[in-house]
Amino acid sequence: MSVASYAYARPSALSDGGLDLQTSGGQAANPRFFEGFVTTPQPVALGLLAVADVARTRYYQPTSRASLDPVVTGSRDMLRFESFSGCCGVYARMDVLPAGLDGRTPDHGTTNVDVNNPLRLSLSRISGLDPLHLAVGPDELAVSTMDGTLVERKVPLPGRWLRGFAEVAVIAAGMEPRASIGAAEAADFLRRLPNDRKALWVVPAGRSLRLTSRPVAGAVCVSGGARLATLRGLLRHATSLTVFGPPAGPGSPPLSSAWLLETPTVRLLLTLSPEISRGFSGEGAVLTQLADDQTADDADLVSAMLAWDPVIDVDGLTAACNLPPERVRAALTLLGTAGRVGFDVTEGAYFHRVMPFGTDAAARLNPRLAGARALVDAGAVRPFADRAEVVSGETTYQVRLVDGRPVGCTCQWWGKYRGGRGPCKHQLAALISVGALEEVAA
Amino acid sequence: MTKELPAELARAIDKRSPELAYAYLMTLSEKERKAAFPAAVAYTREELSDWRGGYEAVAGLVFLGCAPTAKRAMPALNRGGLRWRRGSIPRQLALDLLAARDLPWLGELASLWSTRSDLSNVAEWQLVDGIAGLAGIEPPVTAGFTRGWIAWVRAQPDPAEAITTGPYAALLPMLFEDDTMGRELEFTFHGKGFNTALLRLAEDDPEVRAMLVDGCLARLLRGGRPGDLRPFVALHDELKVTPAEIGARTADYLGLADATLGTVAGLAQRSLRHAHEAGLLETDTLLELTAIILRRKEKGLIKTQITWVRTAAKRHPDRRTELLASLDLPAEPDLLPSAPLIALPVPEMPPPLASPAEIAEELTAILGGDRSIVSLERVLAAIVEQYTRDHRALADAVSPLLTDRHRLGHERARGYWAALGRMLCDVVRPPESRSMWLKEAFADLRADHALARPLADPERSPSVLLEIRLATIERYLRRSPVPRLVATPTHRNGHLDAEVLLGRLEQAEREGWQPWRIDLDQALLRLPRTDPGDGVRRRAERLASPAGQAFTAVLHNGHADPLVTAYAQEGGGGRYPWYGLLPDRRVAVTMEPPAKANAVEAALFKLRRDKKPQGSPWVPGSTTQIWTGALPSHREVVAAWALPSLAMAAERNTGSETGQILPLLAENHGPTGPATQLALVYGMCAPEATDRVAAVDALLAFGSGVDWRATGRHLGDCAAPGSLVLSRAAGVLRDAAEAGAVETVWAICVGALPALLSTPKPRVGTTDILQLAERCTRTLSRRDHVDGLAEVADRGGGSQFVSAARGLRDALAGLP
Repeated sequence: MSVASYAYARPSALSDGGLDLQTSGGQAANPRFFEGFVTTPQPVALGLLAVADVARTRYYQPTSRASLDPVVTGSRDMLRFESFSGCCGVYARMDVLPAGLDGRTPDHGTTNVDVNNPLRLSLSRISGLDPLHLAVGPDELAVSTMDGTLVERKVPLPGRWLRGFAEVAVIAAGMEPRASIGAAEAADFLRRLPNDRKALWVVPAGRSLRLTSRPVAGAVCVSGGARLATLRGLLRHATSLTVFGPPAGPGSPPLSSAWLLETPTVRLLLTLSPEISRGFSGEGAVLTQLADDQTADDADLVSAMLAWDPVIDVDGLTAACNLPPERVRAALTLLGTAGRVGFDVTEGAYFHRVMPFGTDAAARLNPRLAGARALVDAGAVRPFADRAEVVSGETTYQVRLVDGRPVGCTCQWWGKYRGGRGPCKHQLAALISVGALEEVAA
Repeated sequence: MTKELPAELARAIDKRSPELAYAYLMTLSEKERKAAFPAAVAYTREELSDWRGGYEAVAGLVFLGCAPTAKRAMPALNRGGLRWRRGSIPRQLALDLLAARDLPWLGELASLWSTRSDLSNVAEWQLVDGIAGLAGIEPPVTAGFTRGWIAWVRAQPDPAEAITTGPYAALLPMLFEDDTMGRELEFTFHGKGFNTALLRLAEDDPEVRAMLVDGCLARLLRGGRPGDLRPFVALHDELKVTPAEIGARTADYLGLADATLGTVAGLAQRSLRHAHEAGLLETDTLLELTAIILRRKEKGLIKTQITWVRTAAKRHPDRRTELLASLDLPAEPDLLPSAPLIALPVPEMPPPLASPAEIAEELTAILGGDRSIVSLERVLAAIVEQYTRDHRALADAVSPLLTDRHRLGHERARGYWAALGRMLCDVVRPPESRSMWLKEAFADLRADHALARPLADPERSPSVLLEIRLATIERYLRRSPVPRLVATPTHRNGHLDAEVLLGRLEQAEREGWQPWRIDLDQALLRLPRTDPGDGVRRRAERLASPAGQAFTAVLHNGHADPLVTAYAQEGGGGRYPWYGLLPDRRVAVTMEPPAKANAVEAALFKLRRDKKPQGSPWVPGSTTQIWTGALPSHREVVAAWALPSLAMAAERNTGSETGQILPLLAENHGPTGPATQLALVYGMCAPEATDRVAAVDALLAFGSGVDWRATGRHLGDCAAPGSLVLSRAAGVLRDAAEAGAVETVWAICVGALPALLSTPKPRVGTTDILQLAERCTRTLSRRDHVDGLAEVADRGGGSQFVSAARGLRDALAGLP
């Protein structure tokens, strides 16, 4: 397991001079992203608190463990703060929109930002409407006059955290807006949401949302209402709550969902995993995107063309790279799984963001893929015309092939999830042995 | 190569004697001690893993005495039993030894030790404290060290004295830094705990007091799990924070009023009220607080806030209008009766399974937990078809699944699961020898009526149909196979199109085989109650076989329905078989089969009358689907079978998954009666939130298919004695009304109120029902009469109950 090392010049602090967020990692040791004013301090503070709270919470089997710091990305005109919960089941992102920033344009890049306990306390005490001075990253002078208050931390960086980030990008790309309600109704709905751990579904009903026990077309799954509690802080400034979800129908298994609170200057988005016990890292959406050499090459070309746009313009990239739009989109998906771009469900588009720690290996480290490769190396796969037999342990599993691609397996894991979490390792082994799967070169 | 351990040291370890080890180590030089370290670690490896223990004291002493650096000492001290029993290391000997060694890294050892481990063992903490003292450093400020210090203070004879001794004042802020430190504070020992000492210290030293108050507020603002926060709420109350202190920190208290935990918000409200009464709170702050509190869901806080603001308005007449305006709760949204929900057509079954490989996959899904009728029925149909076509391929595909003993054939498996296991084993078995055939021919004579034995089981349920069908397949598939099953449904809720069944029976007649008896019974039970059309009837009359004639009879006469009556059962203080207490009163149903019922109907349409409430085994959600799938046109019967489980869950506040059956009942056909009404009543009062959501779905989906007034009467009847929680039902009814089923909810409320109003003291939730009934009445503009309402409304007083009754009376009379 790798380790994330943070080296901040100073602890972040909120003082009379403004909010001073310290950064570490990314393109430089302590990059500086932004200096200027936020026009609405309270929503920004509440949003930052929500993101930081998600980073240090585990919603399933809560035990206190060391948590990873939130990540800030400077795009052309906005700042995005992202974090992932300890159980890998909740992904939070706060976007400070151009209307909320008043100062020089943010620099480009992604880095970690320090949110410590005294800062949390000061953020929760912010009041008033005057613009607040915000500095993300220390300036040259401060770095050179460091007075020894260096904050260094090493936090274990579990592989599932990295893989979860990659999965969220792919899963979010399949979501669409399903319902949008006003702030008062949103407050009412969140207040009445039961804390149950089982999966419930939400359908739009009149001006508000209604809970229902069985999925219908257009329903959104919410499992574990307690996971939405971090939205409460920003509710009093919000103007609307929008709910996103992948296509659902009668008989759907539990699915992911995304919840967006909008204020005039800040957007807060929470993406929840299908069940409270499932983290994003095991969802297998990345495995279904495993591609051939051509997409990998396209991805290299496209990533060279990215210019830290807050919203990646596919048409512009199509023209710049001279590739058809489908190949550009496939390349962007592959880059998303490598952590090089993120997907913004509100805009429905990718944005350039390079994780400040190596996610390139995320796809290769996937345990299912590693297990599949081990099966192939051990010679346990026997392909036939319409099926492949895979010997794993003491049992032989039959992988059913249709047109050379696996569509079913007799293993228990597949019986339980039936494709809702990507292919099982036996199917992957069959794919590899048939030669349809090349290594992902990220 | 590690050197051998010196013999003296080995002897000391073997004898478990720290004194001998100490004596020997004191005689060595520093170099020799360091050289002995690797050997000592290797020597004690086995002893330390021995669960009987006893070696920790001497091993720890030896490690401390020999370690070359702090970084190597810590892992050694973490081995085996030493990790939890470091407190047994004799402190004085260890400290003397370390002092004699004159080491430069003692401070590092102390900080490593207190960072890595939880020093709640007092002896261990004293040892670390001693090491820190030897090294001359300040006590390390870490969570573990603080925990140990708290334990030590608590263990002293005079904690108030002990808390002030020593240079430990720097540890106090740590109480509020660490997330789980609160749990140390809530433990008091014979009234003489750390808390009391802390409070005494706060009394003497105003700086400490200020730090405690600030720390409490900061920790509560930071939020976390309720168990971690409650000790700080208690500490805040015990500190008896003065109004002056509150007044200086109003911003913090306002932040606390918005906390997730209700007790924290209550604390903020109490404290700010305290300050307000002392005149130290601005009216603007009060207005802000009111806005925050009125958004919360705790009714107690809202009530207190309203009383407070009203008193404040009297006291500050200049801000009166503003204050009273802040109390305007947002009006309840108008209920909009929506158009009746268009019943979505029930989706059809997926296409049948075509190959043995697909059967194997579907079977894996079933074994993995998918017990829906979609999978089960498709697998059964496919097995029967494939068997006659290609027995070998089927056996090859299915046999790998049976090797895993855990999944099938489990000894404790009951009912249909065991039958499924036996059937699959039988399918896979190779052909027997001739002697086996003879044995089985004799066995056949007795076995045919053994098939029907589950019907006579007193613990039967509708899943018995599936069990018998599986047993039939097991018995007859080899001996008298049929090309296909006729009972496979065409829709996912279990319905079988009459035309499709007709086609199957025509095929049987053409090919000259008879469908199995139980198969035909199940198929006839699955016919929907809609008119199939004259074409189907004419074709059916041309069928000559007994099966065809039975089919024609059902088409003509329709389905037979049992007689269902509700009655009350008295618990009388008795107990369930597993010693839980019986409820005082429960309303249950009994069923009498119709005249001329066949064997299956006679078994499943009969529910005996019991004097005492019956317990019910756990009914998993998957089984409810099997029940509705077996009897999709008799929803009253299925409700009657599900009733004991629903009732038990609602009375005992235990979870159950049976509530999920209610929306399925709404999808099915059949008359509804007392069983369905009671099932809805128990479902509305279910303890699990998901079951109540299912009840809302059912209320919406049933539409006008249920007598809602009768349901309301049952609700009042069951809730008035207090065995059911009425406020849960009130929540369900409010959600259903806001989703559009206003007529339904109005009828239920008006039906329930006479019984609820006749209790001497109104049950919790009656006020909610009255208010909801008023809203519905105004929306629908109905005029009606409710028994007992006028008496309650004429009672004096300003209680919410009476004013709600008055509101409803006015609404029913048409007054605004």
